[in-house]
Amino acid sequence: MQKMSSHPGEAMRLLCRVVLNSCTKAMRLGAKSTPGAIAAMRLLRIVLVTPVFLFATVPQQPREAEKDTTAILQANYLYNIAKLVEWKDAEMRSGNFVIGIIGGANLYQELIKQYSTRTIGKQPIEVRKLPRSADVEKCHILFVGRSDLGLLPEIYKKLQKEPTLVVTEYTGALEDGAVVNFVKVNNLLKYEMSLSNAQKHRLVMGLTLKNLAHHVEE
Amino acid sequence: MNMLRRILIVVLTVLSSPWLAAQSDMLVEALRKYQAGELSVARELIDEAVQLPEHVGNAEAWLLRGFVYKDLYKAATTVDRSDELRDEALLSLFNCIAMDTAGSYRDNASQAYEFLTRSYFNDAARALNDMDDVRALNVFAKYKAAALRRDPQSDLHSREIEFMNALGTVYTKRFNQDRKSLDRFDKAIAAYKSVIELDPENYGANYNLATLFYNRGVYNIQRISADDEIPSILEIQEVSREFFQQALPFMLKAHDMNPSRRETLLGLEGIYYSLQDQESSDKFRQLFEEMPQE
Repeated sequence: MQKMSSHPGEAMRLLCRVVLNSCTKAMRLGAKSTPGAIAAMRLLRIVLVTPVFLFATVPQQPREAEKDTTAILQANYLYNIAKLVEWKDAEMRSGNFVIGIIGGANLYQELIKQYSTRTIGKQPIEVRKLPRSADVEKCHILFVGRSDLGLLPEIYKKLQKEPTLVVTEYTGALEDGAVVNFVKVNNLLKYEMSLSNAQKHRLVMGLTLKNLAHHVEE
Repeated sequence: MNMLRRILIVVLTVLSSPWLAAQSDMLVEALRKYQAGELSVARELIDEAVQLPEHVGNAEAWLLRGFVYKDLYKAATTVDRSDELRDEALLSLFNCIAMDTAGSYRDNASQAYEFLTRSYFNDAARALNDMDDVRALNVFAKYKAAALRRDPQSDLHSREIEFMNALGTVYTKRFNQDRKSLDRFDKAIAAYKSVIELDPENYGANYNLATLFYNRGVYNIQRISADDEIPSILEIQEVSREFFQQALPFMLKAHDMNPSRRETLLGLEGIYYSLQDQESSDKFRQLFEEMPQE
């Protein structure tokens, strides 16, 4: 009935997350995090997450975009999130409203099909399919799909001071630095969000967005 | 040739009966007209003849009437008219068989009766091909009534399953043409469920029912547009979730019945994916990828 790309390395990735979380907690328990320790953690994350990415590259038939229900839902969520967030940086409030997509080919198609002629305020939406690289262009919203988790440590690092709202779809993403993360709850696709991560990127999350979230980390 | 033989049998039978020849000019005349191909006149005469006290219980008269109406049915140009004529033919042939205690005409009458009964089933199939569900249901009901009148113990199970499965497919196609016609969706569901009631192990009905529910859930999500806000997205998902959940047991059943079919593996992969169950979806995706092409 339908076709998709999947993520066979899920179990291994979850195992990685357990290790990562243990390391993170251990570091938090220490008196202070030195720059060296942080760098080591980043490296550890990359080392642990990268093999998962390699697993995910097993060639598979792609899912038909029109039957990719998750992509359709995610596209609408991204559009609504864009409407309900305020970018404090003045430079982000003019020009095109850029939504960058890494991975998520069907999500990109859906955004182009349904939302690329819309505006956020007075800013026309521009949807960009970005190359699989951590060298990310400046975006208002950056979505990184499950097939590209290996890029995330570097992306978080590069965007930590940028006014970019990073959206992901894996367990524990808020802890890693994502502002919004898609989660699966009772067979439904919902989202969770981190207000502290939003603040770091000078983003103000609207009250409606907070109220409708499955989970909000302060 | 077969028809000619039957006519001759009728002719010989009627003419070899001196009593009948003496008593029933109207019947003989009807036969002559029938032989001459004057079917309308033959019909008037035979209709009148079978009302007469001496012929109302006469198997020969009813046999002739059955043949006259059968030929009229075959010559009819409109559907309604042909159905009326066929019904009359069937009734007459049935009367003939019931009255023919000696069994003199049973073979001929039975053959003609079965031919007409079968023609109803064939018409039902033709109507389904033309996507005319109303006509299909109508003539299938006539088929069943005719078959059961001849033999109340007839086993129409397999015919019923065959028909209802095809009917479900017609409703599905018609629903796909206009997704707002929810009555077509409901009718398709009812058709497939009736098949499953008759035959729980019917692979096609289980698979088609699952696909129908699944596609409905997907379609619901496909209708999401930029005008939908987050609360409505959640509501739409909840509605779709119900369809996906309804699809699942039927697709699992179809898969259990035939685990090597790629279509059910892909179906389960899609259902689980839409139910946001990535792990199960991946499992069936992997099985699908590993399965050789059919």
